[in-house]
Amino acid sequence: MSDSLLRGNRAGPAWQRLTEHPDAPRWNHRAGDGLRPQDRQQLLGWQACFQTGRSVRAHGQVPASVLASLHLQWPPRLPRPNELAAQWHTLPTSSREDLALRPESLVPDGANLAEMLVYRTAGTTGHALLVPHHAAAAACYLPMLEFAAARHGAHWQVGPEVVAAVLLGAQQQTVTYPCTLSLWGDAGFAKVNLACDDWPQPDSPLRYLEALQPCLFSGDPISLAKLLELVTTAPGARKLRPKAVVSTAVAMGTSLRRRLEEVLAAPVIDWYSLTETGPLGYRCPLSEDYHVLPHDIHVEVLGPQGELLPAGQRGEVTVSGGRNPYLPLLRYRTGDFGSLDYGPCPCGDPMPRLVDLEGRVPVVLRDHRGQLANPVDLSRVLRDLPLVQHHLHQSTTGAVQLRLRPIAPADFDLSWAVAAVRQVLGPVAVEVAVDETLGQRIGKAPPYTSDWRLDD
Amino acid sequence: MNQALSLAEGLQWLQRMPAAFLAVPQGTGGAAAASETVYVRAVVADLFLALYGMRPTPLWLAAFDRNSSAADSDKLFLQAVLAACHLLWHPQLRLAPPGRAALERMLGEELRGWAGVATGAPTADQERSEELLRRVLRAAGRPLRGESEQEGQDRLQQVDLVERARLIAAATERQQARAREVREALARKAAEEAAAKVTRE
Repeated sequence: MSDSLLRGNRAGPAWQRLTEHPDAPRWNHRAGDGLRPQDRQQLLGWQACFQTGRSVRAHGQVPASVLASLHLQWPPRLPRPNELAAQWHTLPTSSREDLALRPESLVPDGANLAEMLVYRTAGTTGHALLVPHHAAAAACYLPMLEFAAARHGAHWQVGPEVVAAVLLGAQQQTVTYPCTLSLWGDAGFAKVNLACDDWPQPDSPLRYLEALQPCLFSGDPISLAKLLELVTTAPGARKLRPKAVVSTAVAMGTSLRRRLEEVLAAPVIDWYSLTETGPLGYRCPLSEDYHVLPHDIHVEVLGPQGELLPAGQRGEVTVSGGRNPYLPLLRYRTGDFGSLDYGPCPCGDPMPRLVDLEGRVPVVLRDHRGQLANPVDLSRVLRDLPLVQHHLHQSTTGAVQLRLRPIAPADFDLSWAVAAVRQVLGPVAVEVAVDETLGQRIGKAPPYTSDWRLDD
Repeated sequence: MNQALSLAEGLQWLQRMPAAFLAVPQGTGGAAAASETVYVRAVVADLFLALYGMRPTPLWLAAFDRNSSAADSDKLFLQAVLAACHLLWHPQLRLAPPGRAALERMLGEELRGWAGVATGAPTADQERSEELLRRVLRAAGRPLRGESEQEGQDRLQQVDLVERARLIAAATERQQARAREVREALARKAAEEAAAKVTRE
């Protein structure tokens, strides 16, 4: 662990509440927000631009600030902003494949790698990738969360006494840590795992969360479903009162969302975010569409040949710009599909809406006992194998079909994959086959599919 | 007065090169009839005799003998030597030839280096012809008419295939080093957990 990543942690009241509570879990990791003083200064500037920069967008028109930022980050590869605008629609696109196979082609030559962080994508909606990042870019999530929550009527005060947020996991294994967030006045934050044995007592998770009373819960639908189960099966009055819940990773079903909102008495905000870009959209309070969230990312919808599609026509969501100095994206195809609506929205947000967003369909997997299994756990064990791509399908009998594209098929032992799957799902039937064409299509090749439905 | 060559005059002179000089030089193609072959070693030796009154040593001249491997670069080298000899036969250059050592270096080393990166004949197009002319004039220490020495050097750098190859190789090496650096940093930092992030993707 690099000390730089622990930067920002303050042993104040919030830290004490997180770490000294008798029901606190055994943490398996240490982390901080990693911000340097100059980052915090820069973030204040970014925050001001975010507040004022979200405005009406026109189809096919790249915001001048995005052009200027790309030009600055890619010298001398990109021309001046006005020339860049003129050439925009002829520029080649980039994709997850570039990031997987040629990461150096996406990292600017001048970027100082010393401050680089790496996030690994979960691998639940596409093959896992290593994504270069920066602490300041990750901290920009906070103002965006506040903004989206406010759009849903949720507000909170942050400060050193407050536990601002808890990120929930429900996995066999994931990192857990407490930390404080300097951008939120040293408020507390914790990443916890609800589905593990790291708690002092079986009922510790709920007691701990009730003691923290975080303003915000975030998590994928599986971990939020686990929270719902904890809350609704516990005896006594319900004490958890978050201001908002943010559902990430994959789309949340309407019934689960309504139940969570009812039980927690807080809005549940569906969140569209990629590790490569950070938050891209939040669910409109009045519809199922997602408003584009950041002011500094240009979103367009392209056809198979990279052509700009008319507003309202479905195509691949493609993004440019952003604030990550290690990944200033240029027409990056996300692998997700949808259309853009630039018309005025009754909710009052001027930013365009992503409509019928596809690529974030939740996948339900079950272990040999019929318990929900998190695809993140499968990604964790499969990523240790020398694979280019995989596709796992589970039928309602529990049997698994696994197609693999090994890096070196001749050297790959199929029994490795069977063992990895059974490590997570237990002794289920596993049929494995090599498919060297896997992943050779536009967009994300879904790594997991299932015949189960979330209601089953 | 010994007037400097203009670019047009030099290029025209090069265009008037004997047909035999344009053919596959001695020993490298194998298909040319014996009567059409040019013995490059002999051409070089005769040029030195004319310019300096004595032939080079047999050992040095051996560089212009047939190479049994008949590699493309060897063929291009011998073609470049013949074209350079033809240029040096221009009356104005014959009157003020390069120093002997400079000419030996140009014919024996510089053109060998050029042939190592060239993909076409030394007179394949106007740019290659200009490059050869400027190499010869540089060896002679004579700029083209109307050009300063610096202007001549700048222009040669623009058309210099060897310099271009060196720049490309250096850029490629830089890119490869950067690619290694990025990949190593990604692998190293992936082993650490990154800074706290309030939501997952």
